[in-house]
Amino acid sequence: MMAAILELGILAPGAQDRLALYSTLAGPMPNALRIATIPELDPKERRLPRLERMALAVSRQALSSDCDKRSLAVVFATAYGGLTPTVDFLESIASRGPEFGSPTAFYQSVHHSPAGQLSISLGLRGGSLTVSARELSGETALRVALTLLNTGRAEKVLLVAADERSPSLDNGYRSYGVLAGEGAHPERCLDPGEGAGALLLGKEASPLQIDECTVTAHSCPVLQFARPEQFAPLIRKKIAVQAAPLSFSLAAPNAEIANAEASILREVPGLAKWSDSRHFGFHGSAGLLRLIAAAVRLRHAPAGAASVVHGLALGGGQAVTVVRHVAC
Amino acid sequence: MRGVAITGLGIVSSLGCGLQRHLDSIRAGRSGLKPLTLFRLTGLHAAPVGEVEELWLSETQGHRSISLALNAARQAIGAATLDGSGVVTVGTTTGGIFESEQHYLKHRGREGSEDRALLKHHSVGTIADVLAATLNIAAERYTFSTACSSSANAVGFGASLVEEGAPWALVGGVDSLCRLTYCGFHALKLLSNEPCRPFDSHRRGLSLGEGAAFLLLEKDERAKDRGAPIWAYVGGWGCSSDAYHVTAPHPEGQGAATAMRAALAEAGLSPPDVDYVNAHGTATEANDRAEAIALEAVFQGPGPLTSSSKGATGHTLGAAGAIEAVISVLSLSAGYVPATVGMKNPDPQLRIRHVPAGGVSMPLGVVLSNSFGFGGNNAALVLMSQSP
Repeated sequence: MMAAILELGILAPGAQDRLALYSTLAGPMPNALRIATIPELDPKERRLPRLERMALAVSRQALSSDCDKRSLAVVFATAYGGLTPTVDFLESIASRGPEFGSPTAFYQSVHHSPAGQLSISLGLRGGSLTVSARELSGETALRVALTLLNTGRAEKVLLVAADERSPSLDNGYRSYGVLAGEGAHPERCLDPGEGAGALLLGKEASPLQIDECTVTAHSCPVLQFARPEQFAPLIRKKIAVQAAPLSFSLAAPNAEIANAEASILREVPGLAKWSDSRHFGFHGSAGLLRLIAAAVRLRHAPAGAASVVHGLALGGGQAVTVVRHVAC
Repeated sequence: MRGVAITGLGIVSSLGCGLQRHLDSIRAGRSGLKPLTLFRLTGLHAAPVGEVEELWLSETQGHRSISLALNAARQAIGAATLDGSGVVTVGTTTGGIFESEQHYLKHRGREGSEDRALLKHHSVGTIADVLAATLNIAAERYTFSTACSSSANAVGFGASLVEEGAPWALVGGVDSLCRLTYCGFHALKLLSNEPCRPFDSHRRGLSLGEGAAFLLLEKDERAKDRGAPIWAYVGGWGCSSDAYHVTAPHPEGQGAATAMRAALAEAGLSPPDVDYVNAHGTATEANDRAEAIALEAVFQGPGPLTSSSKGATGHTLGAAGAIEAVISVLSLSAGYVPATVGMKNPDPQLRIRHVPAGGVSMPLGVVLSNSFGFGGNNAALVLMSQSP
């Protein structure tokens, strides 16, 4: 299952595009895992919800001018969708009464709203799917996109992932005692972040390609990660079949798991590894952002170099994606 | 799409639980719509909704959508053994919001740790996780949330994976009633104060419903090898975007027509091959008009017999595509075309070939099932009595 990365776009803490991302990755961890500024949009779009503006910004980066937008398929990924409008709507009925809910907040609360807005703003009339799979939303959407390409349902797919940090989400983590900086067990705490990424995927030759994307799940309580003995076999299996030069992007949702991953990888001498979670934080689209970071690094690597991007989600989900720099 | 057999069906809605109950209700033209009792909203009229009886929510998960989904999924699996690495696809829009909205409305953004269990299943993706864990099935999991076309897309995508080699796919959808959607559709002025009347001259908007439906899909050869009953086949799936408006359909139904044509093309069929259309038919002014125009464009005339199930079940949002796929398969299997419950005076401006009151008994080979959603998302499924 291969696909070419034809273009990409990113909006992450400290990085408004891929060029900025390359220097951001080499720098220190950002002070806050928040996006300070969303690039300027069409004036008509300035009043859209933040999540939708994030999705639009990265989509415009990834859409090349010669792309046929009428047939382009869209796969949008998000773990929590429009959580801010959802809370705004609930607040409107709580404070003003059930008969006075905000109609705008209601339709913006729908997970598919950003994808609908992409189709309206960018004139995209092909198939459009919104995929949600907790913290593996980006990777699962990539699987869907690859299926659309490999079954001939689409010649090109715009894959977009976006998730926004929300006080409500922080409160959810806080209520379970796992919010970074507050929990009793810092090694198990999560540092929520936000960001958006986009990949324009196709079948033609390109220097960057997705070799494969495996998404699986282990038996696990809803609010816990798979245990190392559960996720280690897939890591070992995927690394074993890759030729050097190879690098590895840790899932590292928290310090405890980052240590476990590092311990597994010590079995592979000379393997380059890093954690981009410190740049992007923990959220549903972080896996796609880490994949984009790996692709940006690979542009500066020799042909043949590959990166394995690992992902873990609460509830037992695990993903392994392999991206490669190929000669073409 | 060739050889994707439907070997299991499960359904729970306001009409009751199970296939026979639904077939009997459909034949009788029964409606499950009654005034809302699940929650009280001071200041709002209790509009008719399709509420599932508590009797059918007996799972111990303490979560309405998960209970509904488990009920329907268990029916669909039946005695089948789901070995090998299969696929679970779920369509849903509200996920766990019925519980998490209670947390918000009580704590208004404060921590509320004592009620944190209400937040546990907020993410829509947890439904597939809990299904797989509870039913002890190893499977890739996909959750689609494309508003009211969610589970039609879940069925279509799951079918395409079976066609590509997955041994089986448990595909379907679920949504529960909740304050968010009830108040939201009221805010959009799309909620009817009387039981909805799809395609009627006096339609006043939609009636909400809740429920779940699942289908077990297998490759034809595998189903035959194990002697499984084959209810029907998934012949085609089409999806498109309107690129028009966030809540309103394209006024000429362009995206809807594109999705229908794509589904028919994938099934290798022409419009005259279709025996029955299970329409989206929400009973909103704009949807019914746009869908009628789209049907006329696709079928170049009045087209095949057409009806909507929403007057019977209510609009079950993310579950609607799967619920109506199961109803379509029941129609194929029973050779019975159901009429539109609630339609008394067909809107003369909508050039649709309505199913006469009381329904029609006739052999059926091909059913087209439409599902359209916010954001201009359109999905169409072709269901067939024989493999294309």
